[in-house]
Amino acid sequence: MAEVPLVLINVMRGGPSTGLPTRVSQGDVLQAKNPSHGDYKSITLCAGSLAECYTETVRAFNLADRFMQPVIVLLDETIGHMHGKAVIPTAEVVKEGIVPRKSFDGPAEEYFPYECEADEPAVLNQMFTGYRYHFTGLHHDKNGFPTEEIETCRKLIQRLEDKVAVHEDELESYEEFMMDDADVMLVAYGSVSLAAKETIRNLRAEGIKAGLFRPITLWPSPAKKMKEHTDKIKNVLVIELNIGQYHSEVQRATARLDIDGLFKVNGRAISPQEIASKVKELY
Amino acid sequence: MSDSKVLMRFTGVGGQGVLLAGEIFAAAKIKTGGQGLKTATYTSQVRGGPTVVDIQLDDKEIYYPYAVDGDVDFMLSVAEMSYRLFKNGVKHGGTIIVDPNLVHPTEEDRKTWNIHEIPIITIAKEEVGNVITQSVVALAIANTMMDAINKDVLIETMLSKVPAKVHEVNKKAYELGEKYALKAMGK
Repeated sequence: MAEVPLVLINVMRGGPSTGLPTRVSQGDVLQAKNPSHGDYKSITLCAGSLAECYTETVRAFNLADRFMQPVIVLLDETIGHMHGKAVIPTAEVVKEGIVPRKSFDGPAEEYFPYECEADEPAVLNQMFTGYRYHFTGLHHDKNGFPTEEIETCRKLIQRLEDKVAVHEDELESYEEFMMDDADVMLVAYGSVSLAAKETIRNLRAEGIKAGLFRPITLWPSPAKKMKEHTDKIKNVLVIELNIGQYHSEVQRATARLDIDGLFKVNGRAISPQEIASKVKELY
Repeated sequence: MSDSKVLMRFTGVGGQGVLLAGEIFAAAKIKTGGQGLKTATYTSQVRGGPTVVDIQLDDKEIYYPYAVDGDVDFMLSVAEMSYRLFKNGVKHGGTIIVDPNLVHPTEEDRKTWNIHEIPIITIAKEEVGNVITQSVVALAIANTMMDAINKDVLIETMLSKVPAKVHEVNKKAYELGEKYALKAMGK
């Protein structure tokens, strides 16, 4: 509500509550979509490799500044405990990619942090630089002071939605792995995508043309791209370490109720063998 | 799966230091230009709970980070509970090293796998003089038996991960591990 940029890293483990605290899970995917009450669009990124733990965190900071809101980076226990090779950009490249947060440099008496375009975030200047504004979790006016004025309240909520919804193109990120000629489409993210890639390598050796669509920005989802694929590919299997949290999003995005699912919720990883068996059983 | 792939599994109980050996293997393989990946699984009972470390070394990209049960080439175990839980991941005819003071394989096991008994913890405690070096003794045994990585690179990597003041004792641990492994192999 106050439009404070923030990056949250969540290494998912088995829940609810203390659950299976040393075991892998992807149970927080829908929590990341709706982290608290009220209407706004959450931004959630999901790393699928060691290198992405770094690069997606960097992207999260840039997006938090661009959209002035929390950005969640979801990892999972498997990725969190992996040791291996990661090729990451140099500090110079990362620095070059930083887009400075917007600020207002006109006269202080003309500064209204929450008076912005209908699809743009608030412009919050650095504190103690002579620009005064008020922070609150209440509905607020252009200065940040509480208000219940009907039209101001409506516009504020609409803007919180639209500042992300209108700019989804800036957020969209996904990987397509062997999708060019695929007639079986696997959808997986995080560590499960690693098992999916291994499966695809094995299935292709047996002549089964499988491919992977891996959303990297989970929320907002790469809905248009998913639909583009599922309009052409009949056999679609969503694989995740929960009871089908992203499966429902794939159904929604693709307007198809016949999307299959392979779910596991016992704290153990899904193996390439399990995925391959499911693919062979279904298709 | 290509022939260049080596799958190793170290098992023990939390706190024994089996995790470090895996990290060293992965880092050393990467240094030589290949791919190395280590994953660890443990229970919420951090100290005393069964721990398994899977190490994959390959020349091509490794995707799935865990060893697939039935594919493991080599396992080293220093705890009975972990041995029983994880032995079936080892391929038939694969090599298993156990500390005979702590792990007691059945006759059936000995027919299934190539089992060697090396008193890893006693070697670390009495011959090296520091029980903590057991992970380096284990590292040396695994590398000697699997011929996985150039010895000099592995030792160099190992030394980069431990404080300078214990370099000598860890080098000694490696040499002893290698000696016992060669003896077990009849060399």
